[in-house]
Amino acid sequence: MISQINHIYPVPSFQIDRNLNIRSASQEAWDMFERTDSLMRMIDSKSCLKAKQMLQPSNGKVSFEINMIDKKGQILLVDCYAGWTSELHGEIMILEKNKEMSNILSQFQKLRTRLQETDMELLKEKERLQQVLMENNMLSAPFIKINDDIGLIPVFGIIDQQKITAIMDNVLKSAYEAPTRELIIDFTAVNHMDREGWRGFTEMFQSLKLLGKHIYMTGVQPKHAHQIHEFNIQTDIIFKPSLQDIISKFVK
Amino acid sequence: MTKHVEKLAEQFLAGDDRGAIEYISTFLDRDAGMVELYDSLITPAMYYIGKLWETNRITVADEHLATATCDFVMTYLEQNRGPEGDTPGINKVMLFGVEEEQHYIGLKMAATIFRQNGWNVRYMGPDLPLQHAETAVNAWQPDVIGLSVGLAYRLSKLTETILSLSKMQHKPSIIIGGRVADKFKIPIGASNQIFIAKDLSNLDHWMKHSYKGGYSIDITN
Ligand code: B12
Repeated sequence: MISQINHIYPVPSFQIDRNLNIRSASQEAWDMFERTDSLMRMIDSKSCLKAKQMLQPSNGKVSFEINMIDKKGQILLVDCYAGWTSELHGEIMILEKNKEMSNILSQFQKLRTRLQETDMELLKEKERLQQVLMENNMLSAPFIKINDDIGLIPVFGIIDQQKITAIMDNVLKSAYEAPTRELIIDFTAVNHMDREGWRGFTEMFQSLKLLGKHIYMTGVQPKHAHQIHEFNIQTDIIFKPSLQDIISKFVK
Repeated sequence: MTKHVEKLAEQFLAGDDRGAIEYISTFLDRDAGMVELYDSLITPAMYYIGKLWETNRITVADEHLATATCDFVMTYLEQNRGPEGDTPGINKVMLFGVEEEQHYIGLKMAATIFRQNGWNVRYMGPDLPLQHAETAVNAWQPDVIGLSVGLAYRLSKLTETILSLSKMQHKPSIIIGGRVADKFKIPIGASNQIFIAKDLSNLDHWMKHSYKGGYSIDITN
């Protein structure tokens, strides 16, 4: 015969023996669970072992989570607090996990999933743009063969370290393969350059010289001239005022 | 592998997605397929997390964080590892979890495997009410419907879902996965339409060797 516990707390609780048989229960316990004389019968099968292992007198006071089955046959996640007054008498109190909390958690999970998707899209877009930028950089110093003697490299856009790295291989390779001795590098379409970029450029000039090229630079604007001076990097390149002048001179 | 599984589980529990991604790439061959990654590493890591809960070392709140981290890591790895799924093929699959089912990690894995086999995939997520499922299936007419069940308590809902979907006019094939899928009793009359996948390599094999399009499935393996 299961008797009733009269707690002042409005929570489901049971007094049990060491075989987890129920000796008494609070009113709230029977509001929540189907009447039975064994605690195990109201616990989800995948939580039974855990409950058995936790509810041993030698463990003393314990708190743990398990899944239980309520009156409606629904599975419930609960917090259990238990202890033993003697080897034979144990008491367990059961608190249902806060529903709101789990709503918030699942909402949080949905948001997180959406964020991940967005994040992933952005990441992909970033990678795509980097690729485009790289390709763009590689195309911004094409080698144009004007005739067997003259090659032209018009440079476009900004000149910085990244750009130099991107164009260097291509420029050297095409210059090496082309028979042209005179090489014109045109700066007309360059809008900005920085110190590292210019340094890289002079290195490229040195390499081109080693390949036996004569280098002429055209299209250098006042702002570049100023910067080249300011960067104070030694070069022995021949500067020519306009692309048109030098080409007509060579082609004559 | 056990060592890797436990370490990965720890990283999931700590919410350390970057660490987990890095860790996976230190020992998993770049060419290892997603099936292997999922079946032999990520799934066992999630099961190990279940073990930690059973021994009272973590709480369900920790499981939530671990799941979210695992989810992120999976999304990342799919984007960065698997072969770039080219234009989706003609085979269509719709995947979802039955109403009130919240376990979706396995379902999401299945979606990846379908995608990598060149399928056109609609992943509807877990907890899809039957009515919505019916509408979606009617509108899109998938060749295959993939379902996942993680909880024994959802089996009757699953039966209801399958009975309804298997009667659809275009006779979609139905593939069932998830922790308790093998407990599912295939309704009489629907057996040539239904296949139970115990894991992803099973699914992969089914796609490559048994699926013939339409609903003629070989259920002997
Ligand atoms: C993480 C987790 C959670 C997470 C779920 C996160 C998520 N969104 O997926 C959260 C915290 C939300 C959760 C909630 C709950 N959980 Co839970 N959960 C787990 C845990 C620890 C791991 C599950 C997991 O992610 N596994 C990894 C995946 C990849 O494995 P899988 O699903 O089996 O998938 C594989 C195959 O089955 C297959 N597959 C799966 N689906 C599909 C689909 C197709 C089409 C195909 C082809 C293949 C396929 O592919 C995968 C790879 O091989 C398990 C423990 C365990 N041992 O499983 C408990 C567990 C499943 N949960 C359990 C319970 C009770 C619950 C709750 C009811 C209560 C609770 N604990 O909060 C709620 C359920 C809510 C609901 N309404 O559904 C119980 C189930 C008990 C039972 N009798 O069935 C378990 C077993 C824990 C336990 N020991 O008590 N859980």
